[in-house]
Amino acid sequence: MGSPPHFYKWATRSLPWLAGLAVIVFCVGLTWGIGFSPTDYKQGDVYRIIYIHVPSAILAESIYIFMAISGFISMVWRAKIAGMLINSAAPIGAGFTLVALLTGSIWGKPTWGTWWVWDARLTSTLILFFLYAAIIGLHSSIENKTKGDRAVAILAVLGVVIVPIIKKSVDWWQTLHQPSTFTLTSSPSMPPEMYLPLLVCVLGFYFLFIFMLTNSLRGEIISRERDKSWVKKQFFKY
Amino acid sequence: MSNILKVKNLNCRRSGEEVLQGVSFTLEAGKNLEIIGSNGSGKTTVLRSLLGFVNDHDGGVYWNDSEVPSTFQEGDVSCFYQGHQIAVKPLLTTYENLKFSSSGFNSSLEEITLIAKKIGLKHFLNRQSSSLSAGQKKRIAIGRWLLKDFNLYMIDEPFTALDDEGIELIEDIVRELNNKGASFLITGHRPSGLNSNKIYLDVKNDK
Amino acid sequence: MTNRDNTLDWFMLVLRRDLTLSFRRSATYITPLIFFLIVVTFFPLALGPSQSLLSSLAAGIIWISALLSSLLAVEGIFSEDYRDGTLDQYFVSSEPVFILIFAKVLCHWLVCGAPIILASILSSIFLYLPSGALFALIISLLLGTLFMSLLGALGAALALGKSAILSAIIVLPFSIPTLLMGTAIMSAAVNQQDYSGFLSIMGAMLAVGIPGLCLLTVEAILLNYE
Repeated sequence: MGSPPHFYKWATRSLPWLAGLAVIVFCVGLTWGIGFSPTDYKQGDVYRIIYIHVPSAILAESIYIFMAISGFISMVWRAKIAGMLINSAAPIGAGFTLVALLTGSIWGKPTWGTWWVWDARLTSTLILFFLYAAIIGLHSSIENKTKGDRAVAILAVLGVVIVPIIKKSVDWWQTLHQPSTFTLTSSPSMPPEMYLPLLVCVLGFYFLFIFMLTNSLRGEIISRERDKSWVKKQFFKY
Repeated sequence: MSNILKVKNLNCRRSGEEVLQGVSFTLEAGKNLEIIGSNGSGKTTVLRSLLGFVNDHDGGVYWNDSEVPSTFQEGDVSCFYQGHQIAVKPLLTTYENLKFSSSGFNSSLEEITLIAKKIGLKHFLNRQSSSLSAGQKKRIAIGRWLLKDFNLYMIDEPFTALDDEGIELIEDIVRELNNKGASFLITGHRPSGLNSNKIYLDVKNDK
Repeated sequence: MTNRDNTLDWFMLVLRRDLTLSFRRSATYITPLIFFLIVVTFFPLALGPSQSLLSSLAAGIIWISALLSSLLAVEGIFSEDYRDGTLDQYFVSSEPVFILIFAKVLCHWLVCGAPIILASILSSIFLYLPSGALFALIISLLLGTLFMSLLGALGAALALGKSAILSAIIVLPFSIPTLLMGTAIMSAAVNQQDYSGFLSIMGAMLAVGIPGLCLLTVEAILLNYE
């Protein structure tokens, strides 16, 4: 994974490119999706919220998996950067989860007639949010940051075992309690004019995440290594 | 004479601050070493980094005449550690405090009674430690040294809260264990009457 | 003495020590019990005394109360030994840490889970749980509280020296599968269906959870010694 100074240099160099890429793909996806894709015959224009909702929901889960992989790496190989990655990714992941929940709820109001439904997807996203909150809470309570990274890594690794179980059991819980539910996102009849922009949006969100992660990792590296000579050389010129 | 422990140029940091700089010493089997310094000089940190409880350190720690730095487990040295907190539970009796310790769980009642006699707590064997004085609790902690044979005893400030008799007791026990080939690594604010080498640590002031 | 005997002695030592300490301080087993009963009592007060309503909610109420109260005492599982230097001495002696953790979890389950199960029998009368489901309640809580002790130990190890509420926040989301499984057993039992399938899933979760969670707890507690 490379040493912190090396990583910092790499991050600084790639940051403008990542930013540009993220903005372009993101804007293209959203304009295409919201401005030019056809109106849904059943839901009207409300459905266009999926261009934010679906990518956020996908990111919410991917970031958690990403954190668990970093956690595993930091547990086994004691890689410093991997530990910092979890810490930088957690607030971003929590943010995307929150966006997914909010947009889901806004979407739910006209389609289900209520802000919240105990649908399997919404429920497990809510639980995912709690998992993120646990990680952020634990990390912020430990003063020694290296120790905090390792503690959070343990939690993230436990999470990746438990998240599928939670998802499965919530799915199954949901069918047990509410046999008739229609899921909107998995409708297979979505025409390409609708799902192609969705794919672009998902890609744009991924780039956005990578950009945000790199950016916050840079700050993390600097604040952790502020006493090291390479940081002093770079910023204080001595 | 073989060295049980050799420390070369040990540096240690705690949350970025240098706590120890260039600590070096050797300790022969059957001999004692005292680390003397005032509060905040890093005495405890020396012990804890030797045990691997503080990881942010560098420098060589060599056990049992080994050529390569290692942990004490790898160097096959059995250690006993007693920190500032002496792990005496107020709710347990003297007997239980000895028996349920890391060194005592294989000891029989006879052995423990014998040790209690030695540390002057024979009549308190079945009394809960909450009713004992600080010095008596400290004696329980000292009794644990005798429960099992160790190669190296690392004791953080053993002489605090003890009366003259207690200090004599420690000196006797240390001598006895030295004769069995065990070494002591002790910290303190001032030199004790023990037969030992002494090193002095200074408080790191703002440079 | 062989190595195996030694490990067993070590296990028995920690278990006996922790049990002795718990029984000398009666709060350790009485507090979760009383807390459980108070929480259970609050539901009829809040929802009204309707027998049919309470009867349909009984299993869920008892399960939630059991989860919460078994978390109550778990924070202290390591903190006292950490503060008074006992863990220092235990970790320096080369006895296996895994055994230490497992013995402590088992002790917590015995002094905390067992009284809760007894109280749940009483609560099943308070909440008009159908009497046919009583056996299912006991057996599901037996497994469920063990799982909570395991999870709680991990939370306590991660939040060592921090507030109890933090370890609860860490642990509760992870307890959701147990909660869902436990309440599924209960609703099957109330409807007089076969619940052995759910029970074996819970057993499987425990079979993986005991070694897995204990190992993670070892990792978490040793973090404080680096």
